[in-house]
Amino acid sequence: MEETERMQLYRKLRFLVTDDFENFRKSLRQMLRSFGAEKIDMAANGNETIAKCANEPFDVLICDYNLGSGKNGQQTLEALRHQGLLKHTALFAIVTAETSREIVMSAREYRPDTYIIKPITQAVLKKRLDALIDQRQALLPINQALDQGDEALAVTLCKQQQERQPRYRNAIRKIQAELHCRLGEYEPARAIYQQVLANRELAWARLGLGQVALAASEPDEAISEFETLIENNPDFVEAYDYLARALRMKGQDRQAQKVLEQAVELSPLAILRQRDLAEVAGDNQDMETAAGAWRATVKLSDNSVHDSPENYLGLSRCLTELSDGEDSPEGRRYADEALTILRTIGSRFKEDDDAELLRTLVAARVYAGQQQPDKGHKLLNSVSEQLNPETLTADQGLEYARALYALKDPGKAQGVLNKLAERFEKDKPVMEAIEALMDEPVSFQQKRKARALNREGISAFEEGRLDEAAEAFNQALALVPQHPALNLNLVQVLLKNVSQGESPDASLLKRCQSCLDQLAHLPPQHRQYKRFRHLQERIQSLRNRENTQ
Amino acid sequence: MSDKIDFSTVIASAVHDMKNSLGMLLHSVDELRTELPDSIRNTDRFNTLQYEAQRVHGDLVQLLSIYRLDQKTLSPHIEEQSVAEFLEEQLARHQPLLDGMGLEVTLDCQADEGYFDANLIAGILNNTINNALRYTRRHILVSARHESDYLVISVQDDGQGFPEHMQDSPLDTQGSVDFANGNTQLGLFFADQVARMHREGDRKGFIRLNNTGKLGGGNFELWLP
Repeated sequence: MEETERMQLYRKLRFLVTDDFENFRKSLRQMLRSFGAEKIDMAANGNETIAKCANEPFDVLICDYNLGSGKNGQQTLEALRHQGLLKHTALFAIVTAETSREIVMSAREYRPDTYIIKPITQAVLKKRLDALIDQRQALLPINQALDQGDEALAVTLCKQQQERQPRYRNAIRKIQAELHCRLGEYEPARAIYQQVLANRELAWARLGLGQVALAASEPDEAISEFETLIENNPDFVEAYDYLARALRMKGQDRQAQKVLEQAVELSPLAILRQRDLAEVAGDNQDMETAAGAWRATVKLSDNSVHDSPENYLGLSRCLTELSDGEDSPEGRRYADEALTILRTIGSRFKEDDDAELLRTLVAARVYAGQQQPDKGHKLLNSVSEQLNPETLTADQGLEYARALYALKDPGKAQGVLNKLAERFEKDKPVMEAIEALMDEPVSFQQKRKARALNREGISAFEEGRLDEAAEAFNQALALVPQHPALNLNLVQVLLKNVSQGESPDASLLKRCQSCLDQLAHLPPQHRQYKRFRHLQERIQSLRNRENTQ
Repeated sequence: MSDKIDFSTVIASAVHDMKNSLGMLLHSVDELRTELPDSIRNTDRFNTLQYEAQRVHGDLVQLLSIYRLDQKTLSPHIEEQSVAEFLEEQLARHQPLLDGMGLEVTLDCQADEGYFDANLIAGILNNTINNALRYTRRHILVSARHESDYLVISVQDDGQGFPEHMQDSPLDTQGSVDFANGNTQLGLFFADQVARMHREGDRKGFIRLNNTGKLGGGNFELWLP
């Protein structure tokens, strides 16, 4: 681009400089003016930046990483993106004196258009901005189409511009492939990435290939792409996030947790990653790891656009599990921490009625687990008029049922859950949560033991060691007597020895029947319901045969 | 926490702090150069002030990088770069000082794109150019070309050239840094390590030193696949 043409652009573009030091803001403004810029606004912190962007769109934002006590530069960028305040045509540069690994990794992750390492000299800033502005100009039609929400036009423009702009060919290919993927056009997206990779192994293209596989629900392929990527770029942290997602898609939650633990070690400042780790560790009943990740999530909530009562509730639920039934000093410490966090929700999210009810229900469970059921009941009574299973949200209903189980009222808990199952039968995640709770309304330690025994039983069954299998399932059922899959597994093992036409002995039938009786509460929406009915009929016919002989 | 102090961590954190302070100082020097009268800003003393500060800053950045290399926490982020844009920015960093010292610098870029970690390679070039500033008489040439499928970035000067014993080609610094001989070799060690981290298939980057450049002085070459 000609220098005069560039001067014209600098004159036209709207700049926003964010830094907490007035001197630095002024010095940057001085530099921008010398490049020809005229429209230069300044902000001292993240919130001011966001407010200004909400007011009028800027074309070039230059933001320091370190902004004093509020949001830092990366959190500001994240918030602007999240709230849709940053146009596709806008440029965002993060300035940092920090080259510490954590901060560079984290600044890199939110993909500013560039990050400039201090000290900034006028000449360096000019070169960097010139290059960015040249690229902005080259991609302008495409990004304008995206700002107007016309993705089809953007794809067409990408195809055209690739030939005309050889300097930015790969940048354009990347945009085009991402658009195809977003539009569900997986094959053209794949073709672009493969074309790039045929020429050179580039991380973004390998990542893209994995993302397409993930979007197309092909976890095996996705896993292999992400593993290749990590092998070549061991600190490319996004690859770990996606690998974990692919593993979860395959149900390999333990593996997914390991991968996320590595990712968190590489780049610990990303709140969503900490939350992902907390959730998967919770699902794996690894409450210690989950608590650590929830604590980090809560800590990163400050100044984050992802701050929400859910983060605090997640931590307090996890601490509640850890304190449940533990009257050791450690158990009491967990309970105290849970109650403190729950109080924080009260002061931090004052207007949020949903959070208010949820925190009361969790607190009732904390007291129940600390042998103080009176306090628990008192809390439930204090919100009793809100506890109508017909009107509670799914989350509230589940939390209410947990509190009831903890307060030794399983009958009432099941009633609440059955009502919820009726109301949310089409909502898969809610149904899974209802089933998980109904199946194992016990502490995570017991869940852990029961799961290990279940796995043991299944492998014994598969190897034909039926007595050992039955023993393992029996032991597991002593921990979680109403677990549907376990009860049905045991019935199946016991019936395995009964060949066609032969009548089984009465004690065996009685044991089977007692298993099925445990499941009388099973709602028809439960995923084990069909199997339950099938086995129930089988037992019924065997008993009839016994009676007629 | 163990009660034994990990001295390298302490040093790394101190270096980090010093580097940031020097960054502030350099920023001020750069501003001063534009504001002060010619009678001050282009004097040897002012040039020395900026040169030495820049040199120490570059050393500290490199020291930190070596620390991370040692801790195995440094791995390159290789991305497509426009070589011309990249080199122009590196020269811009040195421009005020070059002007102040009255040195002539030429950029001859015959390469379009390259694939490398811009921060790591910038660190190497920064030190190499600083080094050339010290040994050149009046001319520095920074050039880039594609040769046998490598991107070759070269920094040449018209000084005395590298002494005989440093001209290995390609340089072998595998574990043979002679710390007793001052830090001259440390910069080369780092440059070599960073070059090697750049891989494409079976090919690895490397560095070369010789005195066969166009200007007759030292010629530092960085070969990247």
